[in-house]
Amino acid sequence: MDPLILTAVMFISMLALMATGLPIAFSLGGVGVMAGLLLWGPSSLELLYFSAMEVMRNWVLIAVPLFIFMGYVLHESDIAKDLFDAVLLWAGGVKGALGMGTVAICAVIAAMVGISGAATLSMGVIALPAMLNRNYDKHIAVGLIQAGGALGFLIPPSMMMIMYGFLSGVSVGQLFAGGVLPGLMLAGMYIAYIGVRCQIQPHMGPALPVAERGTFNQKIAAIRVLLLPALLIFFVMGCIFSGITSPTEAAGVGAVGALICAALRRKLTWDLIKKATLPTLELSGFTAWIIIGAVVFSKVYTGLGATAMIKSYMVGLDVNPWFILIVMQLSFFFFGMFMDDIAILFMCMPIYIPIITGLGFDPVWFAILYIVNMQMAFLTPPYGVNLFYMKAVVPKDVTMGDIYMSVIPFVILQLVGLILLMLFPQIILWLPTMLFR
Amino acid sequence: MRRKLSLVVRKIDSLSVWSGRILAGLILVMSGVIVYEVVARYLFNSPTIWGLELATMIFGTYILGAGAWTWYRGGHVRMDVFYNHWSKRTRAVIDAFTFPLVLLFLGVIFWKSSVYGIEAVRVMEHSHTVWGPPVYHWKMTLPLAIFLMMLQGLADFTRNATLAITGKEL
Repeated sequence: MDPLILTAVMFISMLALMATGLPIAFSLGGVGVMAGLLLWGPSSLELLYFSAMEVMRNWVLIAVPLFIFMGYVLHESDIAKDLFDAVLLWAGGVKGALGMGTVAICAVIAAMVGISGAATLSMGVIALPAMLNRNYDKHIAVGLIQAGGALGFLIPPSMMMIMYGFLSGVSVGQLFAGGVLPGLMLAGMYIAYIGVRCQIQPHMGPALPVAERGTFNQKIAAIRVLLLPALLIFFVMGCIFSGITSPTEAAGVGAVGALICAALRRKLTWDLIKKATLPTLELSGFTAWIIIGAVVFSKVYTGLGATAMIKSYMVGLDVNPWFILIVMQLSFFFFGMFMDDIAILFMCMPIYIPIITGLGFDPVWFAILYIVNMQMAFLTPPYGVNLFYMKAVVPKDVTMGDIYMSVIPFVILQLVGLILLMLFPQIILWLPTMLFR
Repeated sequence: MRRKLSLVVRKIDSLSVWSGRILAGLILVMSGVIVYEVVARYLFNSPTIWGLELATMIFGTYILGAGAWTWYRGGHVRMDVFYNHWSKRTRAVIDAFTFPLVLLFLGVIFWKSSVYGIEAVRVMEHSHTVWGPPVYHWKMTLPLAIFLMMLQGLADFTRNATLAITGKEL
């Protein structure tokens, strides 16, 4: 069959199945097995078993449940609340300080938790009421929490990067390193924007009343709460970046480290163990099966010769490689409007990665561009995950319309960030090059 | 009939819940094994020959076994752009219609993994590493995990079919 027709048939039937609400994992796997049976024959069925086995004995993927678990333990031990209390004390007379501090906390949470949304939920519960009570404009307060919360997949550890590493064969350590500077850059851009905006329009984020400002001693005492999470983050990332351990081993160390943190904070209870282990299992099961579905799908697709044909077709096209890259970014943005980010990863990457490397682009760079792009998808309707998280926690007088409005300046900042990262690949590649090459 | 069906479906649910409770604890064992390996290597300079392999085996059981629990919790993410706007009954009808495809997908893996698993048990397969642990029981956890998942799927299918046909929930 002509590879272009095959591509169309497989993708359209998969999208049609997804539209019926069939879980994405089974839409991918179902189309894979049908295409295999009809176009390849019963011998393709062996491939399903080997796809499952590939996941079952994969050393890289072990890091996924471990990092998820580490994140849940830290989340359940209320570190976010302590961090915000510290921000309150340190805010002083600076306009917009609570907002800037909240973005910084989101970055810290992103460095502890490998999934997106965790920071949006906890900051939505903790920081949002605190900001609104102190007369922050609801648009800036709601917007900054969503933008900050979206940093989760960009700042390592990141589930998304581990799965990209699994698909592309790029080392997870390099991907983690690639996310550090872009993550800090975006967080810095949000903070600068909030600071400048509140300086010009003080009603957006007024300074704290004098009575609420922390004293010097309180400030020093508040720093102590930062100590444990900071140690853990530096230890885990240090293990990976210095090459002492593999990301998987670092994840195991991080998981145990998180338990020790919880114990030191006297939060290590049976209840916490339950609240951390059960959701970890649920998320792991989802990840495992979507990976198996995607591996089956792409193995059949590749086995029928489509990947190679599409690749040589795209690489042989007489257009500027940048054109193809930008079309890919637009396709991410388009799919992101109605589809889950992990689904997009497993759907597009098996086809895109060979093309990208064939065109001479760096796969680490491409991964980070994808993740920054997905952050915009989190914040843009109709399927913006963070918008839903936000809606679940905002007070009643903040409408869905307010939430949509609130993200506009931040989406513009993300777009500027994405363009900067495309124009200056060094921002992404400097750290991985220095550490690993 | 209806009561019997409902009883069976709830039994399957509780089976998934129990599989989840047991598997959930494995994450602690897995972290423990990995940390032991790292500590043994760097602090005592005596890396184990079994650390990596044991962690991988636990992981395999953990992550594939999670399927039934995830299904029970509704954690297999779907694209809900349209799904959310449908009535419960419409969803049940459509889910019942797409289920055979899921059953085919899982059924094939179940069949193939049973064939390979039984063969592994027959020859008492051991791993080809220095440590060389038995792997036949581990290979049998894959068909077991998928069996649990198919059961949970059938339970949901029964619920959906009942709602679709009679208009009443089971």
